[in-house]
Amino acid sequence: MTTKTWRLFWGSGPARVPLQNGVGRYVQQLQRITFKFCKTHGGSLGMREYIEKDLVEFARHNPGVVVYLKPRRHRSPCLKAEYLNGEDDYISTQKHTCEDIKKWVEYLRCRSGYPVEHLINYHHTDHPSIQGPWTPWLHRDHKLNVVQYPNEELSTAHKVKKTATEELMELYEKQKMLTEMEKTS
Amino acid sequence: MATKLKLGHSLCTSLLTRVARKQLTVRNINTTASVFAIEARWTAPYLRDLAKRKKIMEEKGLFPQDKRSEYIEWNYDAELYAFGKRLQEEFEDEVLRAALTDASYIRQEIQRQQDLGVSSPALMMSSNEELSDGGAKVITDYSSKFLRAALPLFPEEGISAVTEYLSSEVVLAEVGFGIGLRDLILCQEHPPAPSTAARALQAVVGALHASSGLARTQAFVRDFVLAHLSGKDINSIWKVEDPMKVLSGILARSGCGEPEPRIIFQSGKNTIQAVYQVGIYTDKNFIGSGYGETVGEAVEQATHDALRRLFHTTDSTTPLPFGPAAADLTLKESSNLTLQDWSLEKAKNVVSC
Amino acid sequence: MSAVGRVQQWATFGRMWYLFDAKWQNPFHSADKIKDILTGTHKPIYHDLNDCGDHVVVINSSDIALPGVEWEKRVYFHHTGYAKGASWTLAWELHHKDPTMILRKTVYSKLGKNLLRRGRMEKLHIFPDDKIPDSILENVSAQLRQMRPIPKRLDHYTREEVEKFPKVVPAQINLHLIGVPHTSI
Repeated sequence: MTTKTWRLFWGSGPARVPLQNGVGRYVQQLQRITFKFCKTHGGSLGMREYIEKDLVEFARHNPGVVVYLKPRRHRSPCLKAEYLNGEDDYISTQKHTCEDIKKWVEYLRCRSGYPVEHLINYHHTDHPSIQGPWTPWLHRDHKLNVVQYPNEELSTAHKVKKTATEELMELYEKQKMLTEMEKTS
Repeated sequence: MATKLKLGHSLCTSLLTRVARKQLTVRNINTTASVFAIEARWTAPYLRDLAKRKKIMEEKGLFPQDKRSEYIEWNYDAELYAFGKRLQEEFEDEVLRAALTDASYIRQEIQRQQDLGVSSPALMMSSNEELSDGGAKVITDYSSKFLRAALPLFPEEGISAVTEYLSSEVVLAEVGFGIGLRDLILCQEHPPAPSTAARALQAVVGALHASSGLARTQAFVRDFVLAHLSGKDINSIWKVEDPMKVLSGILARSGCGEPEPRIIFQSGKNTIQAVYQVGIYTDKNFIGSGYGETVGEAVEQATHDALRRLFHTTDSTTPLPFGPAAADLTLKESSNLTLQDWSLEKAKNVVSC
Repeated sequence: MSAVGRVQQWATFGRMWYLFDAKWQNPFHSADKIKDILTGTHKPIYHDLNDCGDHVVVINSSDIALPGVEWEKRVYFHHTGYAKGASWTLAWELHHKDPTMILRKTVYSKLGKNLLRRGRMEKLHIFPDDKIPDSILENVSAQLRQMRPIPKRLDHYTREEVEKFPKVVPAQINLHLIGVPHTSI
């Protein structure tokens, strides 16, 4: 699936945050996580190892997350995360190793709960400019408001170089000055 | 026979070329979406139809919504413990339980026990009515004091309008659902109505007041309720009615001349896309400008802009203090200037923090 | 969207009406400038999907100046679609038939070949002389500067200026200069 198709299906939007999170204080958005696994099946081996080794540590570091364990006989293991905004996320951990599950749990822990979608921008603001909006007449001289159109002064091209006539006149003036100086001396 | 074979052969090659082309074709007007494995042709209408059906069922009350508390994996004690920890607040367990218990739930429980034949039901539960009243008071009180201190030149009418907005059911319910009250509230209906959620949030504030004191409660209100204003235009919450009259009143009290609107720019006057910029001047001094598709609209916008500049609520003013910046803010007890009293002379005496 | 946001958007995407005096201007160079304004590429808000092109009112299009031998050698091709329907019109012939046509065709050819082309051409208003209807002149909000100076003809100088002008060779021969009374030389 290309990026374009992904966007077509799953949508795109600006980066957003639930409930101005972080403006006042940061609230972890993961509210509960359920580990579903089988006590005997090989597919849940990694999950059982995670529960034995790392789960207590996880729960200790995240007192705001309620952890549930749900053993189910002969069914594949999975993680179910529930977020404060009412969304939930499901990840199948069939035949996953302990390290893999650790990474998935970390992924679920850090999410906001909003669907993973293409970000049209990495930053977003409701006040795009504190200088005020741009307009086509920004920094325009107010004198132009009383001008009558068509206006020759506004229309004439900027002079880039002298014309031959002007140069000739200049030469003539110079010559005239020299002759006058000679006369006086 | 030979022709049949030949036909079969040509059919085969054409199929093969079609398959080969599948990977190579550039999308044009003749290719279909299915060539690129894009199912959008049916996916979008299908999802739209599902959403429509869901909406109809929700309206009729037929759409089943599971109560999270009816699942096997549900531990209310653990949930309450995590609730406080998540918000980095210390709640007394009993008070928090009371705060999350709606009166309708207690009524329902008593009714159920009576139906089962218990003549005098003994329920060791208290509802959140008292706590929510206390919480609502803290919210309105702190919000107005905070806003007065943060926006010292904003008229008192505006302060009370914004405070009213913050303690409205819509905002409080949104905050309440946002901190995870949806599953925790004990109430008759499911999912909890916005009014129930708003009351529960007020009760949570009241419970925090009872558990951890006023300072923590005010910080809580600031971080969750007042933070709702960040990224919002305060002028769209409170809009001055008849701005020109208000502006002339203010200027008259300040000893300035009448406000004089003048067109600064216009373009496309005779078209449907005409655009005007109007500036407001008093004694030949610029005090505000606005845009509009008609001169009248531009004048109104310019007047609003002049008032925003006077009240220091433009886009370029410092944002409301949240987080560490809020700790230095001294709350303001006395009310701000009202619109009737507002003048430049009086505004000069206002100490801004 | 708030009322302020709405009018800000209106102002940012406000249409400008530019006046352009085509007198003694090379239409092929002028078209480059006009094209930018019709498409809106001169604006910082330009984007392919933005409709931010401005209007251009061109006056004096009958006084355009084609460079070199373009008047005689430039050919405009047209085909009616029927057999033997091809026709070739020289630039001077076309200009004689419709003095706005050369500029219009030049701008049209410089615009991008897409579906917006016709709509952008609708924003170009060409007039052969400086007589513009008031309904259009009232819309004008700015004037575009010409790209080259208008050459000054001998009859544009006052008599004193001509007399004061230095002469390399004294005028003894009876020169016939167009537009200048013989006595002034």
